Amino acid sequence: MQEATLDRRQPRIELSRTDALEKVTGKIKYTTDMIEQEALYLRVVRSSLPHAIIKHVDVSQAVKIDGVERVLTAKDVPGANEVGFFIQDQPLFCDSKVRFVGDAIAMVVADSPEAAELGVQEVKIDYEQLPGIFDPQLALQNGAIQIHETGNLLDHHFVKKGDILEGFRKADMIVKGTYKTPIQEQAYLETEAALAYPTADGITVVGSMQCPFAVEKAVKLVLGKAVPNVRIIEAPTGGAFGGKEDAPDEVCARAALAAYYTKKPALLAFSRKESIIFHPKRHPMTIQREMGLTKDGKVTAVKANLTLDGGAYASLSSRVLFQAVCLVTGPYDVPNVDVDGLVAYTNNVPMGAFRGFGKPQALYAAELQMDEAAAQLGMDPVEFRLKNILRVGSTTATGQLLRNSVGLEECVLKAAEASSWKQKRKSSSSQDTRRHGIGMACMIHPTSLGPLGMDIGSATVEIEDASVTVRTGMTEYGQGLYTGFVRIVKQVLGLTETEVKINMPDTRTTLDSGPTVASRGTVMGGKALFMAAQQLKQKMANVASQILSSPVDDLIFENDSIRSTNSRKSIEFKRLTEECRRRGIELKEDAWNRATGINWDKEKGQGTPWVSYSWAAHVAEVEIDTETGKVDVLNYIAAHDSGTVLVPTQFKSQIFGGVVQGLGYALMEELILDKGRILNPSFLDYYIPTAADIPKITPILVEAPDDHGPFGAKGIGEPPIEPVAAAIGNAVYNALGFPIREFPYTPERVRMAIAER
Amino acid sequence: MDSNRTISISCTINETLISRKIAPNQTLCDFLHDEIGTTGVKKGCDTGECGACTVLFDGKPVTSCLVLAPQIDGHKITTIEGLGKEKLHPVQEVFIAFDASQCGYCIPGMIMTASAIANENPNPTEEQIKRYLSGNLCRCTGYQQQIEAVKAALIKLARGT
Amino acid sequence: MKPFQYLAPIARFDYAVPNDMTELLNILHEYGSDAKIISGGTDLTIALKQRLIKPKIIVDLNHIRGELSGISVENDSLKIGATTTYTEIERDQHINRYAQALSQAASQVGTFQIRNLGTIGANLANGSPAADSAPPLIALSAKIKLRSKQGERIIPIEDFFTGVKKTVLCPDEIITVIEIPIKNKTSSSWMRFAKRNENVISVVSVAVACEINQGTFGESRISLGAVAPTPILAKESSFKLIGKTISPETIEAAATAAKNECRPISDVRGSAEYRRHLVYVLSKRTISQAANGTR
Repeated sequence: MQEATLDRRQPRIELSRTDALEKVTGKIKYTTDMIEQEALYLRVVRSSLPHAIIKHVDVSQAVKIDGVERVLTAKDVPGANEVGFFIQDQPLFCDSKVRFVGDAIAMVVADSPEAAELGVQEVKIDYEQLPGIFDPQLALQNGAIQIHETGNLLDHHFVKKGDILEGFRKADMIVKGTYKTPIQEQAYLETEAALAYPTADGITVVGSMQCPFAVEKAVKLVLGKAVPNVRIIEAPTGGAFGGKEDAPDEVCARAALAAYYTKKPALLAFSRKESIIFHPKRHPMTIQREMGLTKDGKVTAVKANLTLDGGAYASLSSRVLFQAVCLVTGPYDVPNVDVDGLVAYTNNVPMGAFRGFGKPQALYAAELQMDEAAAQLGMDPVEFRLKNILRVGSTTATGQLLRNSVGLEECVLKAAEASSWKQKRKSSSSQDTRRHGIGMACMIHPTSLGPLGMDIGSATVEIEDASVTVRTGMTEYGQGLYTGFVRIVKQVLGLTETEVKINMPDTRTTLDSGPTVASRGTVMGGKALFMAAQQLKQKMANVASQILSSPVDDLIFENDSIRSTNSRKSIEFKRLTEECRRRGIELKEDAWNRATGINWDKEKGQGTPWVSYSWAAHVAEVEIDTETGKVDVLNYIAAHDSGTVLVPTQFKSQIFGGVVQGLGYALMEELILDKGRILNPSFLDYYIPTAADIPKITPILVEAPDDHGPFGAKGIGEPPIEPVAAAIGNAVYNALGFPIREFPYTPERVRMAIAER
Repeated sequence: MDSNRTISISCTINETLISRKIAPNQTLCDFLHDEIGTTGVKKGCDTGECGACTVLFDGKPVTSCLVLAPQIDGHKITTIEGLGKEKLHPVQEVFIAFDASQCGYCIPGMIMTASAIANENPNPTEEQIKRYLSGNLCRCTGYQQQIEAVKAALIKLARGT
Repeated sequence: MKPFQYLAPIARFDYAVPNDMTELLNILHEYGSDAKIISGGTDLTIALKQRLIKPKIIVDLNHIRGELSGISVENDSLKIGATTTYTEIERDQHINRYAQALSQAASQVGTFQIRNLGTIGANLANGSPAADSAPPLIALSAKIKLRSKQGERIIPIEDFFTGVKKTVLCPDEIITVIEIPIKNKTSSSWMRFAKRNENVISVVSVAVACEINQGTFGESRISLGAVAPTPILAKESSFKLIGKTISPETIEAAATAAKNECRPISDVRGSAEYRRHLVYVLSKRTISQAANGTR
């Protein structure tokens, strides 16, 4: 039986999001909506200091409060007091020291909200304050106080290609700059939550999360042998963006611990302020980058040094650093590369996963410098890019040969055309106090987890009655992943009216498909689903072949039926499932999809880290009020190659959402830390864009399929946010005539830069 | 809870008459979600900035986290559960058709605000629609599809469809 | 389970809903600073949730709203009831005719939802230096009426504020009416600067009310918000307009004076230096707009 394909000439099937009806009626229930369940209330007691030794934790007054059942601390952890995602560097409850403002020390378990609040107030902690480090460069200096026993250097990655000295020797000019990128808060509308309850044979936790199997592992580690069975169920999740990649481990483990001790259900949820204070955020980076180029505009060399603020605990830092280091050359053909990156511990809030995962920062440095180089050459930035972009047949900075699926040139050309680039760039006008500018930024985005771990997706397809059920370990949190899954199943099995249901992950009944991160949901999970559906189709085809007296290869699955092109006979899908059952054939298939061909040479800093790449070119048009410094975005074009588009409306929705989240990052989101304390942990003073802040955004779909994904899809989760800050930065550069190498481009920053000139 | 610290209220919630004694020290958002059980009312910030808790108070959108529960005595409250009971409200229909929901958490509040725009101004400009919606934060969608959905809903409402 | 209450438990209080002014004033007299009034409630509920205040009793104006709300014109005076909401102010034909600066400010307070809920009385009583309704009222020479069991007093609005979140309002007093004198030749305008377009607290705001007499400024008042411990009447700046020809030089001089008169602090919303600069820029623009009689 041949593999199903998606014929581009077929009319596009537009599918409604799988849960749209429940969302618009308010029927969908998130973790804190499960009010029928009685539960105890949990409140975490957190450090008010950024760096201190814990001398004593006194819970004696707290436990006396009427309604407080118990107060848990490190000594109450039956298993391991550990929640680090990759490195065991993060305690569930601090017992010897605290490392950031918000570090967890104890947890009050109470039977009423009021008792829980009073309990928190009564826990008394004696600290011996230590000097705090809030700058990664200071953390890495000799003599700096050690935040962890392993030292302040969290990790180091490098990439080396060719001969960097030779590369600079060949250059006619060299452009240098230091670029700084800020912290960013994910600001999902639903804060973290977990509801844990004891069952006959163990503990079940329902919660808001991206990685149910990682949570299962974390909860088991914390509970140890005390609890034989742990079951994790993903609740409908109100946004994640990477912020719920590892934080749910600690949230669910704490809730499970309370359920274990009290034998009652327990709820752990957070106010907005507490959520902002504790969960990991986007790494601030300082990137020193140097680029050599010939006078006719060929890049010969890129050298870069990256320093990342990793915050108090490792979280996903190592992998974020790896991506930034590999991709700071940008989507360009650079023959000689020398990139070195360090991530250091500091006493700031931990830094971890956030949509883009190191690439928004790396691309900012790369793209701004590309424009600075173009200016030095006297060349148009689009023309300069076209001379250097990666194409099929190019080799990346890490030495990976791109055999196929590089739609970048088409993205650049289409974005330039749609934005009227040539005309607008020429007339970068100024009327009294207003300056106009237009800027482009390109993007390279790798698919799959990378070489630092195994990447395996999985799925189960089963036919129950006459409908198809998909059991997936991948989580849905607004990306529309499940709608794409419906599309895949319908396409493979030729279904239109037949219902396809997607079950949310439950570690008891779904296979581990790995984390729903890295834009891998469609490629890794979706491909596994494709494979499982194909397997099921094959099984059914074998039976249909007998019934229709036709060779399998002459069978077509279409419109809820199977017909033979040979014998002209057909059978309805529903009837075929009954026939299969009658013959004792189990209509259930599992499949695993493993990323292959991945390798990394640590000594050389070279390898094939990822299976495929997505590409994009964005163009931003801005108007700056030079008196106030306010930057208004007038127009925004986002051209994306993420392979075959499975559900066009949703693909565009990801682009709109990612671009706007990027505009927030570029223009107005400023989390202000003062000696480790977040001064604005609320939406009152941390500004994310509102409907009144958005420009017209035009998405352009370029499709260069790649076989790693189902029907050639490559993943669109993260790409739309990645080039935004750079596109805005370049537009501002064009408007003002000089680059501002750090952001957000708040009115005050822009005004000060103008005033200083 | 001392009974002399409760307060009697009589109001309409989603067209159902509610008469009961309630604790005054709770916000309307908490009361609706936890006690009345209209869990479609969401909590995103508790400081009136995000709009996820938006309900209609005598037909006007308000952030229920800023209202104390006893303030509704004698008034009419509508939550997402009260919109489109028999058939979907035009705003709900267009939010599906235009793919205006992603994670869904901001959606009930956004829909409640959108449902009231026609009463304020049946024919607003795009700028005005954006202003009306700017009290409802969304982190997933980037608003564009929601604005298009509202435009379509206004046309439907004007036509009586 | 009460998951939402758990996220922000509020300490207990008694709750009174007086049926008339006498009852209200008696309660305030009895409880003094242990009582808090709720009309718009937007600042009060936040303070309760953050446990910044622990009142013994909260007094709800639900039953006497009627007495205290409404906008009317009487004897050359525009009267605005304290429990009038921002939405009502934004829409009112009298305000749009005689007090444009106030209607402009009202249209930008908070969000659509907050404008339906928040009242001008509550906004003023809260005493924030960034209260958006204050600079327009100051520029328009408004007076504020306060009432207690003891009696009534009327105060120029610029004297109402004494410090950050401090006003002359006594614990047993309530704001009843705000009165704006109507002057036919007065044109007013308001602008603010903030870090995003909507749903945001002003970094700086400027309100200007001026009489235009054939190309010359007559009586003029400039008021600044969010750049001092209270909203202020910028006297020096106002003097630079009065009696002068309407010209860029005049406006420049007034804007420079305003910049020197303000006393901003540096905080998460902006540095003092930047705020001073914005006062200059916004003053120029707001005066020009008022001088043109345009919105």
